[in-house]
Amino acid sequence: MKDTFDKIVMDEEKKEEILRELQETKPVKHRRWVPVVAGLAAAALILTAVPYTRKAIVRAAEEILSAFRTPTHLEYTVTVESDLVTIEVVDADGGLEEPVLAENGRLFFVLDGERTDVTDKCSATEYYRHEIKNDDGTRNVIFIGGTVNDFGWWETTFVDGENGQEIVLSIGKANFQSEWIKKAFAEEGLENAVILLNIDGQKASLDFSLAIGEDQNTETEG
Amino acid sequence: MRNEEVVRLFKQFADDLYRFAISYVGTKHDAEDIVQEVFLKLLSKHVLFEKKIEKAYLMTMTANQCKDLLKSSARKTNVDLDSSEWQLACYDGFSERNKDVFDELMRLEDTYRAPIFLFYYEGFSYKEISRILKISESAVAMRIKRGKEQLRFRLEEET
Repeated sequence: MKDTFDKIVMDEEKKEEILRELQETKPVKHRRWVPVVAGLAAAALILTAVPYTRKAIVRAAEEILSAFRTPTHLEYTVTVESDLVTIEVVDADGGLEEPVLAENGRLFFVLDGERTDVTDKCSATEYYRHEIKNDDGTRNVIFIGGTVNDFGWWETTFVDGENGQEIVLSIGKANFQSEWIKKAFAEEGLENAVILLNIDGQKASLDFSLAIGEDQNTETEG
Repeated sequence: MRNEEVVRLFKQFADDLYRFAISYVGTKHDAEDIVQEVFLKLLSKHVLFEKKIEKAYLMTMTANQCKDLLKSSARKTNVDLDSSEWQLACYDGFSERNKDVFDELMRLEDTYRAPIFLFYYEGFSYKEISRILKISESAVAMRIKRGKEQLRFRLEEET
């Protein structure tokens, strides 16, 4: 196989064409997909089960959270360089697909083009929960809550860390003062998690050297 | 990511990504488009990563693009080995043996081709392949095993 595939290379002409394009194209930012609206929390959080370790986050970043796509077509990339963790969230191809739709007085959960009427499961204090287990061992949980006139959604990705820890990426559009989302977080076991990063845009960085204090349970890489 | 950095990565990894894309989607033009798309996307990313994971990261981006292409309704997943585009594109410099190996690999389902390519050609471990393709390690092992069996059977039939 090596001998065969060694002979497969891109046309030089095509390479030159792409190189020219890369050299001439100005870097373009993806649109900011989450509008920050006063009174609404539209944030990506990184939460971990306490205690967290640098080693667990580095492992999750390098092994799993590389161009990681969620069911709503967001793409996370978490990278670690030295003591700096960077998280970027962008629309994957086709753009964000919000998992909720209000139509004709009803609330629908939407995923991969399929709709489920969840109106009767949602209210100011109740929410609908949908879980997806992925082939790579991660899982996504989507909450829909609120009323037809005031609803929200939240998507959480769980990545197994070590020693029972979980690294969690969480993003959505919801009012954190709502009872339904407080209940969802509590029932999901997230209410006591440590928020490491709270971003309201596409990118945030965490400096481990600043974040890890003496009162945190840490491991140093040996 | 800065243009100079993306250009550096392109010069270093373009052919690797191209080979992977060919093994995944099966056609030259699609593979070229995928490679182009991956590097253009990099221009709009603000990621920093250590050199040791550069290739794996780019392979993951390539796999995502390949999956998107294969999902599109207008796209067939089976390679048309009789198409002139395919033959002109991929047979340059091939010996008869190269041609046999390549044709039989391309006849496998794409779910087998990609793991086999990543394992036998690129030398990635099952764990690394599972990260790139976003499947479990057991799925990687199963797909490689089955794909290898089919490939071996077909190549032995040819001789």
